[in-house]
Formats: sequence, structure tokens, C-alpha cells
Amino acid sequence: MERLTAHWAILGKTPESLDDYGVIRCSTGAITNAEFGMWLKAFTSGTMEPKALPRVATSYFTAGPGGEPWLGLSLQREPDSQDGFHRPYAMTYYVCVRWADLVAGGSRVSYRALYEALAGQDFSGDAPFLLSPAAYDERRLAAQVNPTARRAAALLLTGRPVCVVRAGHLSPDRRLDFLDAVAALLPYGFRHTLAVSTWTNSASLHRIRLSFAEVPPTHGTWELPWESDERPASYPSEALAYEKELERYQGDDLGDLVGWLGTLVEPGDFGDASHRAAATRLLRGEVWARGGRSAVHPPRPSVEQLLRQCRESIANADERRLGELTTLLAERARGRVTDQDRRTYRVFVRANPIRPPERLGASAVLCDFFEVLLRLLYAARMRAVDVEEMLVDLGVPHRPGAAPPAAVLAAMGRLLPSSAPSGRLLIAHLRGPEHLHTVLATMSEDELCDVAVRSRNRKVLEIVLDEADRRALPSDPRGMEAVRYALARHRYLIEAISSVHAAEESVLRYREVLQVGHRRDLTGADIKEILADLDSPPRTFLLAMMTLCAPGTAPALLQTMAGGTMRELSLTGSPVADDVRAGIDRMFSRDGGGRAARYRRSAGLRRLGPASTPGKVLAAASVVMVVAALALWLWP
Amino acid sequence: MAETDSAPGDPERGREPDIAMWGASGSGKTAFLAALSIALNKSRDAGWRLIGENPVSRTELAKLRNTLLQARTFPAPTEALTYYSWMIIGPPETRRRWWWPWTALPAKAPKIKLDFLDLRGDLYAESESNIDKQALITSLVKSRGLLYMFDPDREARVGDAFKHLDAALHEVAGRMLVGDEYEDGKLPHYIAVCITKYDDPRVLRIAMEEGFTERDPGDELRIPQVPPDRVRDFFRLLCQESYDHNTETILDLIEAFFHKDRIRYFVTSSVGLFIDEELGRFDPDDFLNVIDNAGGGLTIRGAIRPMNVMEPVIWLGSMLRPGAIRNRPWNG
Repeated sequence: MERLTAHWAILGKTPESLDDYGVIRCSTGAITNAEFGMWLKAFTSGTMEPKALPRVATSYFTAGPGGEPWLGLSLQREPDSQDGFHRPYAMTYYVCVRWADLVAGGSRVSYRALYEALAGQDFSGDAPFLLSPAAYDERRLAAQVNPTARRAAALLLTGRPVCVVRAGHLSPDRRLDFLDAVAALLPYGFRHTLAVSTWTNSASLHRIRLSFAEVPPTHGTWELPWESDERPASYPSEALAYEKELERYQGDDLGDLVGWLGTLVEPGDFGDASHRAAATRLLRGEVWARGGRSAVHPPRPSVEQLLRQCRESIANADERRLGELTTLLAERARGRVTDQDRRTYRVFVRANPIRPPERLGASAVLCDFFEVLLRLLYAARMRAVDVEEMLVDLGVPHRPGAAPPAAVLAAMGRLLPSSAPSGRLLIAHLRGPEHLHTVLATMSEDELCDVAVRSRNRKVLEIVLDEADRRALPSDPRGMEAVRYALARHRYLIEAISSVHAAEESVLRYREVLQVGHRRDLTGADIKEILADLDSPPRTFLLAMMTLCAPGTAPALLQTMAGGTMRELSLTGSPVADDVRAGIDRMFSRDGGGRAARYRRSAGLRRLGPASTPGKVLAAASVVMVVAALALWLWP
Repeated sequence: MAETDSAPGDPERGREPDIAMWGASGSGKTAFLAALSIALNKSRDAGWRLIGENPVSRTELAKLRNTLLQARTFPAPTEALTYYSWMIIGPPETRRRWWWPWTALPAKAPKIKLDFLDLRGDLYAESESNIDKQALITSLVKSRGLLYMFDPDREARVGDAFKHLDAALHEVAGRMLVGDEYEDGKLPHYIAVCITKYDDPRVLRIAMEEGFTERDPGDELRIPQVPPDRVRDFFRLLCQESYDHNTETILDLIEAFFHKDRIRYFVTSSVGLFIDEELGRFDPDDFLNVIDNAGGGLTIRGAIRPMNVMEPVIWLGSMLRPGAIRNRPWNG
């Protein structure tokens, strides 16, 4: 802040004086002693009470031939002397600056900054002071704002003075900060006609527009109890509107708003209804009455702030307010929202659960809100994972039968057409069997399998398998065929199942897939068909096959597995491949002729006699062990 | 054209005083009001009470009482136009029908609603351009009762009573008498001229030495009093003793502007004279009830016995609210 020229005066008495209160010392120049005296007395807060001191107050006046506006701040200190009538008197120290100087340049001056600048002066000599008040700190001012400050600012815009009561416990410092905060919630130009005081006597006729008092005046003043939620009787709509606008801003947003209001320096008059109405319109970003459309707009509240207010409106079942906020939220949702933003909002919603009261049910306003919320929090094409995250974000209990609120379901229904297939399935599932059936009816078997594979979502998989099971009826060969081919084309959903199920569950789920696809024990041909296009099937899949193989299909299984392994290893047609086939044949042969005999000969082994019964048992056991060992070896 | 609302401090906000206090700074206006409640409580005609009509006035009444009774000092100098909406409630009076006087009606307590305007004394001497002065004059014009406080001690030392009275009186007269409403050329107000600080040794000494005092045979305390019919003369004498020669004309000024039958003179003291409890009566050598304290301020020494504080108010009340109070001894 640049240096400010401040004129000054001291109002009081001299010890033992028989005179009344008067200006006992002042600066020379722009303002005369008589003017100082008149304005200082005109803005008195009432007869001095020691418990109310020190008292800080602001005032405004015009002086000079051109009626130049000034803004002043006074500090009345505790009495330490008596006058000639043995009565204690208090000294008032006063500084005032030209309004034009105050609003020149980019920085503003808060009441506290002016007060601290005053407190640092010695009030000697007769030259004006050169003050260096601290810069306008919108963050600090915003930190002082409480609901009482918002309401006070709003009530001031009714044109009537505001008197804060039940605040006797507040120190003068805290009171000054409050007054500063209230002023900061109005366009800066209104300080032009704003007189505030840390204390007033309500029996006295004073010109203080905003003050603290023990009891409120009897007439014409708003009584505002400190930190009370209770709204004044006959709370005017214009004040309510302004308060609601202010409530949209919290934290850094509020700091931005205070900073922005500080830039609005065009003098405002509390006594002029058009000025007051303009302030409300300005905060709403509407037309500024004087000079056509405003080039400036209030900073928009953050999405978090809007969400917080929506949450309050829902909790209070305030549908009108919720509708207004939803409109604002929709604007934000239509803008660019990054994934990081969405994550941030989701974290916020998760930390601040939105739980509509039952009486709101599935009102249209609430549905609109949730629709906008879902668009904001998740990508435009909602996937299954989004839907599941949403359930978590919205705090839907993770237990069977738990369902989101009706309004959320309705909002989800609106989003259904634009959602990804997996999201559609989950949304429809949440909305109920009828909706699910409607969605499933539009999907082919291929699409079903495709969404299961792509989503890799347990619930989607379950839905798809249930539907496949329903379609693959033995009485409907074409349906069975379609399902079997779709499963085959999508590798029996191996990718989906392996990504969402652990070992035992995988085996069970693969078995379910195979059962749906074949509806019988697997024959050798089935085994060959299944494994023909599967490179390196998971071991759980092979185990699932084994649980379904028909009697006598072991050779086919072994040969198919071996063939697949050899194809995978590019050994097809090699001597080793022949040896493997020969080995398998031998394992399953009942005599020693043929290839087995040749093997034995080439190996130089002596011919074995006919096997005894124990020998047969031993051989059979060996075959089983070999098959098992081979199968295990083949597993990747 | 912009719609303009009333600014804070606008006197046109629904309060008009019945009774305005008039007097220089330090003349004892606020102390008089502070003593009013005590005076009513201590009156011989028991049962009088003073209550605040609204929370503000109740709070202020309590503060004023506490200042005298608890802090045992005087109120701070008034700094702003201050309104008190009070009500005096008297003892219930038995009533009878004139045409059937043998049966008593239910007793009814007289009530006098009084709105007082207190102010900083120097405001009367301010120029007309002063915005508070304008509000004051407006209030005076709308009020119908005046409590004019004349402080002989201040007059002897400062002598500004004439200045305070003259300027404001001419302004009020200028506003009210220019038209045809008051054809007799007099202001319509009732004015109680109160000589304050009777307990001050200088005032009491003049009264005693000049032979204005008498003892009431019924008064056990034997306090010297100025009889009602001699107060006017005492007032004239005190004006002549003033530091300012213009003060001599105050009585004439008052009687020129107000109807003589609407003027009454009182000798008052907010705290009364000190009475030694052991002696049990007035001691001419030891009657100072207000003494200096160690901090340089004033302390009330003994019991507070307001003198003629209730009487001017009741008189004004009965004049402004005819019928509210039936004839009583102090009501003339």
C-alpha cells in the first residue's frame, strides 16, 4: 500500500477543565478544528462506559467547498483523568483520509490496517500523518467471516442499521475484526457511507450503522444475536438472497470473493435502495445498474463449495435452493473437468456423504442433482468400474440387497443410454430385474461375452453367465450353439475370470462356463474343440475341464494338451513330437506290440512277459501318475 | 429518482420525547434522572415505582441506579442524544362511583408514561448547522414538557446558562411561533425549572443566609427547605450571583417564552444532604454528601435522599397526561 496522508484530531478535555468535550489538538490544513469537532461528536456511539473501552469506530463525512468525501477511524481510550467537575473523561484519537486516496491504486485498506496505523502515531505537532497501512489481506478477512458476519452484511443491504447483541464476551479486537469482515463482504465502495463501532449505547441516537450493543435499540434496527442460527423476524428476501450468495463461498473461494469485492470501489450509499439492489445483482454476476453491463463478475464458487451447499440443502430438504445450486453445478459439469478433478470431487463426496432425507424421495430436483453429480464425478460413458466406485462414493452399504437412494437410481437411469455396456448392465441390475432384462434383451451373445471380457468385473461376469445360462437351453439348440460359439470366440472368458477370481473360484467359474457351453460331460471331440484355439490355457481351466471330462477321454485330453504344447513350442513335425506321441500311445496301449515293441527294441530292453494282476495294477497306477506328471509339467 | 431510506440516527424513527432535559453540561441532568427512581421509592407517599418501558430503557435505568447506589458516584457526562422511555406507576387508588359512593371499585394504579430526552449540554450552544442540534431542536419542538436544569455552582464558575438557553429557545420559538398555531405567541410547553445541587455548600449557604429556607415541622431530619412560593425569587437571586451578567435575564427569558401558569420552580438535589445517623438530623457543619475520593473523582458519602426530584416529573406528567393522576398534595 502506498502511503496515505491522514489528517487527525484528539477529542477530549484537559485535566480540571470546566469545558465540554472538544477538539483539543488537530492537524492543520484540509479540515478545520470546528469540522473535526462536529463530525467526531456526530458519530459518537453514546455516553462513554468504561467497560466498553477501548472503542474503535469509523465515520464518514464530506468537507471542503466541493464536498470531498472522507473516511475516518477513531479510537477512544480508557479515562485516566477528571475534569473540573470531578468527572472522568475519555480521549478519542481520530484519523481521517480522503476517500479518493483510499481507493486510488490497486490496493485497499482494511479497518484493522487503519486502526493499527493510527495506534502507531504519537498525535503531536500539527502536520498530517503519512500512514503506511498494511496491505489488504483478503485471506485474513475471509478467515474472520462467520455466519453472523454474512447475515450482518446481508441485513445492511436492507438500509436499516444492524446491532449485534449477546457478544459481551468478545474483546474489542475481535469486534473490530468482525466489523472489518462484514465490510469486506460488501463492495468496497459501501465503506463510503458505513459507520461501524465496537460498541454503541442503544438508548442514544447515533449514526452508527453496524455495531455491538448490550441490548438492541427499540426501533428501526436489526437485532442480530451473535452466532445464532435464528433468523430475524420478517427476514427480507433481498437480505436472504445476499446471504445465500455469500454462503456459496468458503475457504479460498471466500478469500477470492473478498478480494474481488475490494476492487468494487464505486461509492455506494446504504441510504439508496438502488445502490443496495445493485450490490446483490453484482454478487450474482448480473448487470451493474450504473454503466450498463459489468465487465467484472464475482469469482465462481468452487465445485466443492457448491457440493457442500447442495448437501446442506438436501439435508434441509430445501428443494428451491437445491435447484439453484444444481444449475450452477451443471454449468461446472459442462465445462472442462479433468480426471484429476473428478478424483478430487469423488474424494470430497466420499468424505461428505450425501444422504437425502426420506421425505425428498425421488423428487425431480433431487434426481436432477444426482444426474449432474454423476456426470461431474464420472466420465461421460459410465463403465462398470465407475458405477461400483459411485456406490462406494455415495456410501451405499456393501451388502446384498443394499440399494442406492431412489433419486440416485433414477438419475442413473437417465445416464443409462450414454453409458458403456458394462455400466449399462450394472445400472440396470441396480435398478431391478425388469430393467436388467430390458438391457440384456438388446445384447447378442457376442456382445455379452465381449462386455464380460472387457469389463473384467465380477458382477458383470456374473450377470453375463446368468444370461448365458438362461439362453443356452438344451431345448433350444440354436441358442446353445450361439452361446457356445460366443464363449469359444471369447476364449471362454478366461481373461475376465482370471482377473477377478482366485484359484478355487476360478475352477468353479470355468466349470460353469464349460457347462453352459456344452451342457454335458466333455467328450474327446469337445476337448479337442475347446483346447484347439487356446494357447496356454490356465491350469485352473484345465482342472475345470478335468472335472467335466467323460470316461475314456484321458488320452484325448493328454494328446490335445501335448499337441497344444508342441504347437506352442514349435515342435510340431519334429522327431521329438513323434516320440511324444509314441509315448502317449504306449501309455494307453493294452499290449506290447506295435510301436511299443519297437520302442522296447530300439531301447534294447528285454521283452516283458505277460503282466500279472499286480503288474496290471502297477501299470495302471503308473499311467495315471505319468499323465498327472505330464499335465503338471505342461502347465505354464 | 433513488428511493432513500432513513439514515441511522434519524430522529424520525418513531420516538418522540414527552419531556426533554434542558441545561448546560454538568448541570446534573443525568444525575437527576438517575435519582428519580430512588426518589420515587423513598417518597412519603409510598408505593411509587419507575420502570423502563422497553429493554433499552430498563437497562439504562438499571445502570443509572447502580451508578448512584452501588458505585456511589455520578453518571458520566452525556455524549449523545439519549432517550429513556419510562413509566411511573403510583400506589393503587380506591375509586367510587359518584352516583353510588357506598361501594368501592377495584383499585387502580395511576400510570404516567414519560419519554425523556437527555443530551450533552454543549449541544444547546452549538450552531444551527450542527446535525445533532437540528435533531435536538426537532425533539424540543415535538416535546411538551421541559426539565430545565440550572446549576448555580456552574453558573458561578462558568456562567454559560444563558448561552445554552437563549440560542436554542429562539430556534424552537422560530420553528413553532412563526405560524398561526400558537396565537398567543407563547410556547406550549410546560417547564419545570430546577435549581440543582442544593446540597452544594455554596447554594445552601446562599439559601440559608438570604433567608429563603424554612424548617418543616413534620420533618424529623430538620432539613432546611425553600418553600415553593419562594423558589422563583431564590432562582432570580442565584441568576444574579452568576459569573455571566446575562444570566440575570434567564428568568425573564423563560417567562417571556412560556405561559406563566405552565412554569414551576423547584429546588432540587439528586443525592440530598448528608445526615449523620447518630445525630439523626441536619447538621449545618456537616452536611456535605458528595466528597472527593482518592482517584480525584466524586463519591457519595452517605444515604441518598433525593430532594424534589420526583415532584417536577410528577407535575409534568400530570400536566401532560391529565387524568392519569388524581389530585395529590404535591400536585398543587
